[in-house]
Amino acid sequence: MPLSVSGTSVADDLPARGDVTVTLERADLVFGPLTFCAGFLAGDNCSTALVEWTDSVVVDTLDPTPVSVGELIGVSGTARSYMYDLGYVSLLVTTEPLELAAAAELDGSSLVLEGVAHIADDRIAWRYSTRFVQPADVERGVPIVRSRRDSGFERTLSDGDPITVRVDPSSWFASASFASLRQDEVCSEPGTTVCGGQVERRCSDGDPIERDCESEGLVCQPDVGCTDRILIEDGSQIGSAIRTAILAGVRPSFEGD
Amino acid sequence: MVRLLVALAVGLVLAGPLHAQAPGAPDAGVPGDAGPDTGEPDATAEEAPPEPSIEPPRILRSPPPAYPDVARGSGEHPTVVLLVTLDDHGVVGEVEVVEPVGSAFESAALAAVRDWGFAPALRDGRPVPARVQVAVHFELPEAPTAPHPHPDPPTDATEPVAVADVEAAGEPVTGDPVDSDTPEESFGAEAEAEAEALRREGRSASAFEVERDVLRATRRREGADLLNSAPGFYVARPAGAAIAHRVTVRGFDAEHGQDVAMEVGGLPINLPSHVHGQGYADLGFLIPEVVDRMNVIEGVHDPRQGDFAVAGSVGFDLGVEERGFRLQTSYGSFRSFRQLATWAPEGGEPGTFGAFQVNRSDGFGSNRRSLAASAIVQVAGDRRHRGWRFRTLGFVNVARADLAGVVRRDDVDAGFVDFLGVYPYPTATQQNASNGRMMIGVFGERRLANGANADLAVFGGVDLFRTQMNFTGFLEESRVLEDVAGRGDLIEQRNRTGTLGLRGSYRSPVARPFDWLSARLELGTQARVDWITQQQNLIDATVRNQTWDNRIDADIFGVDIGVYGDLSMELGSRVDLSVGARADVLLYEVDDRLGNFIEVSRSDTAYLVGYRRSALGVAAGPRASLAVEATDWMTFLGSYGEGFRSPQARILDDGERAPFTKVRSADLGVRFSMDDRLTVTVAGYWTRLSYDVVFEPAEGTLERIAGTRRLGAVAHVVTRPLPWLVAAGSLTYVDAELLEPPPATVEEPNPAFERGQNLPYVPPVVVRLDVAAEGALGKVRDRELRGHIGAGFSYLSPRPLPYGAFADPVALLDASASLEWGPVELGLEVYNLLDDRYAAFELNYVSDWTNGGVPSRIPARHIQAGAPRTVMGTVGLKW
Repeated sequence: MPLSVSGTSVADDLPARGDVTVTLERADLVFGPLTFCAGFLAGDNCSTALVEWTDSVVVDTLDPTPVSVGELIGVSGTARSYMYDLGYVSLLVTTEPLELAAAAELDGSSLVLEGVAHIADDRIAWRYSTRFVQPADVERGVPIVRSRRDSGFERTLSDGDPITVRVDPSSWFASASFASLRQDEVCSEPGTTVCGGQVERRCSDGDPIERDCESEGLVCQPDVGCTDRILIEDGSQIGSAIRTAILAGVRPSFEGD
Repeated sequence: MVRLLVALAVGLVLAGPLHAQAPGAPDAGVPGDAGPDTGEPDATAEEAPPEPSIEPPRILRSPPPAYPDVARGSGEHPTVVLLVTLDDHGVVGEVEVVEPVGSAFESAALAAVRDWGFAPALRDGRPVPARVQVAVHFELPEAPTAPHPHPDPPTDATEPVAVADVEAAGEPVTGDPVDSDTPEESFGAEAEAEAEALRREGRSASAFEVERDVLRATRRREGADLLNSAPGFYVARPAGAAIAHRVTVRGFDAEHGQDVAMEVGGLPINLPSHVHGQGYADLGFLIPEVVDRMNVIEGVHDPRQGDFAVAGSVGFDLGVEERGFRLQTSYGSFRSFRQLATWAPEGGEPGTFGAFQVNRSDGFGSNRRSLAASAIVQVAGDRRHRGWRFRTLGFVNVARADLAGVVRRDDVDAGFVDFLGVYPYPTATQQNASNGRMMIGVFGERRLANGANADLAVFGGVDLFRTQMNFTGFLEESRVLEDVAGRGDLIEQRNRTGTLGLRGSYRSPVARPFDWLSARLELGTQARVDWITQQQNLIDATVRNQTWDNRIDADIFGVDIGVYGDLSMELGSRVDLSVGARADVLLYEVDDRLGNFIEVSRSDTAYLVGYRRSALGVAAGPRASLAVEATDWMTFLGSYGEGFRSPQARILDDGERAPFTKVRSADLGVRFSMDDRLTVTVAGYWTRLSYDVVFEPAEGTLERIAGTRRLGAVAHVVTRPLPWLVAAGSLTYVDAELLEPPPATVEEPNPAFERGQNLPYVPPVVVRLDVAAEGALGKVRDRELRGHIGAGFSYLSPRPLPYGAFADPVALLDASASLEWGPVELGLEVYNLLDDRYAAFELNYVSDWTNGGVPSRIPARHIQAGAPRTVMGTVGLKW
């Protein structure tokens, strides 16, 4: 079965938590491998699959044009569940996950997002990258994302029928609190760098040295100062919210002709 | 005088003019021969007045003919006089009927005499060809007799006949040119019918006797390979030495014997509740040279067919015709070596012999080194003690082999592993198997004065089995140890079985309530008890076989008591009807030490691991067969029976009552028999199972599926158009289908099922051909040079595999040739002559042999490679 992947045309202002919207400038997601199962429960209960694609690809989730990535291999039948990885495959034979080629393409990441958060009148450019790896002490050897039992997923898979995996990033930011990107701090400890809005403040024993990032087309990131984008950390609320949305939120759609 | 010999076929006498002449034509003209005798005095006759010393042939073995079923109502007791040509080895060549008495008797007499063994005639102490007249006398089967093997004592042919039944055979028959120099000798021999022969044979169109000449058509690598000559059978040893052969027959993938009940000399071979598969039957101990005949019943219709007779049953009769010592050494491809030694005491009957073989080989491809040895000893008593006669049979064998296991076809195609290779991981290279088995049985039979007879047997044995095999690569996780996985799916299986059993039967005298009806009742029992200990673990070969998971740890005690009755009736002169029934009571007591298993993640348990239970059930069903002789050469046969296969005891719940596979089997066919030169059988068959099992690679065991049905036909031809030529062939077709969807599972809640869905692993078409020519080639230094050439060909059509795949067809040609000159034998055997690259067995399932790559969950074709062309040379010595 021919397999394609595509992104989705998304609005310029995607809703985020609070009165914040996000404009995505880049949204690359590594997708694959992908497995369709006959049973309702993917994971450990899918040791024998119907069809699978064992490769990986970087999906530009903002581009709605389907890109052919290869063939799903297997036997015809009714798929009632599916599971997939995002560039890293958990193995039984080792605790270290296997990095696939597409993840290497993204410098070891499964996801690279770049965008602008609109917080009140501020426009804060940000970047977030992460990798999705099955924790070694949780279900080793199974893909990290599985269809939900209550999703009602059912699809007849027949030889030659094409499938397009469409990834839609619109909902990824709904729980992400981008407002936290805007800091309004004053110096309290010498030797640190804080942000007062988009003003960089390098703290010292005397008056802080200030620099208006916005006037230079930059944004202010605590501890960093002026920079072109705020780097969102994995353990941050925004990072966690995005990870949760991708791993447990809205799944891609699997479309036929 | 007590008529000892009033069985189906009793008195026989070798009588009449014996002449030491070349068979066939008086002018056979063998250089250097003292003959042939032409009746004309030769030029040197006057110069060489001393008459040659002539010793007539001696009977070594004379199993009696079966009284023809179709003639039982006739009351006839004719004598068929035959002219038998023997070569200077005493081998029966051409046989002619001298005094016709009706084709049924003639055919029976011809068939019997062809199976007789003779010591050759001697002229001046040298063996020479000869012709002898043989009178075969038939008596109605009023007084049955004894069991395996042929209990007829090897009577010195010159002894006076002291048998009540020889009168009809006493007259020498003339008509053949007789050497005037040859003193006419009258001599006779006593032969008693076996108890087995007293049962009506050939009840079904799918009952076949594969005779010695067909079994010897070409050399067999192993004793189990003889099964390939039975219609519809295909056996292979894909896993490697020390693992039982896989058997395919008539639409059954019988695995390692789960569907075929096997007996060797009366010893049951199948092992119940074996960890590697129900009915596990390893014929690795069987030495092909000591197999005298193979009795094959396909389907179920004989009440004596018990557990595992689902596709049918096979009995191997053992015997060594050629007396004396024999040493044979073979060496060939892959540094394969075989040493055979047989000893058959001079003057003893074929049933008494000892045989030993050792086989070693580096094996083809990788990781197939093996060493095996076996010994078989059988002593057949030639005297009766208080009416009883006994036979003792025992065998012992040991074997160990490295195993290559499976390789994926896609990995072979990608060049990752060789077709004949092994995966380069310890979990694959450390695959091996070992086994040891010993069995002994004592078989006795007694004739009663009223014509009834009884037999009794006790047997026992022990079997040891251990393997470490990896079918799936790196897919398993430990249930016992937390977070332990991926150490390689090297499954260790151990099984130990101790067996004790007995069997007995009683056959009544023949009753004739009406002129048109005679009947005999047989009642019998077959019982056995088995103690089984078995384990299955996952082990890590990289660290001294560390155990990292337990899957099976159980003791099983099993009892099977079978009883049967069989009423055989002759209705008029051309109709035979047998009706009977069989019931087996089976008890299992299981100590499953891993039952109620507690997952490692659970800490709140309030019980200990273990599940002890017992189950008892009864499997019963009717058996019936009908034979109608339409003409002297054509018989219609029909049969029906219901049998069973016992369960793997570990699957039973406490108190489960009838946990047995029920099999219903019917055959309908016609047999054409033109004396001994041509026998043709055409039959259709139908078999239905209440549920079936298929191989499950992940655990290396069998897994239950739904009911199944086989519908097919078989054609079988055996022809002996010339005294030195035999050919046999069979074509078997089957449509084997699943009747219901496989059981739903979490993985597959709605299994794919189409009406008519074929069963996996079963080839729809199986073809077998055997052909052999044997005879004297001439004389070298006054010794006859004999030659043998033969070939065997097997073909299997593509076999369906799970998930819609198909295995490639298999076509194998084996050939052998040998020369005998005096005590010296030279042979050349070629197996897989065409060097076909084939999979001896093929499966389709999920595995992961990437060992760190992206694992696939899609079933892939896996093969266990068959042996490439193998050439063996043999040197033998006999004295």
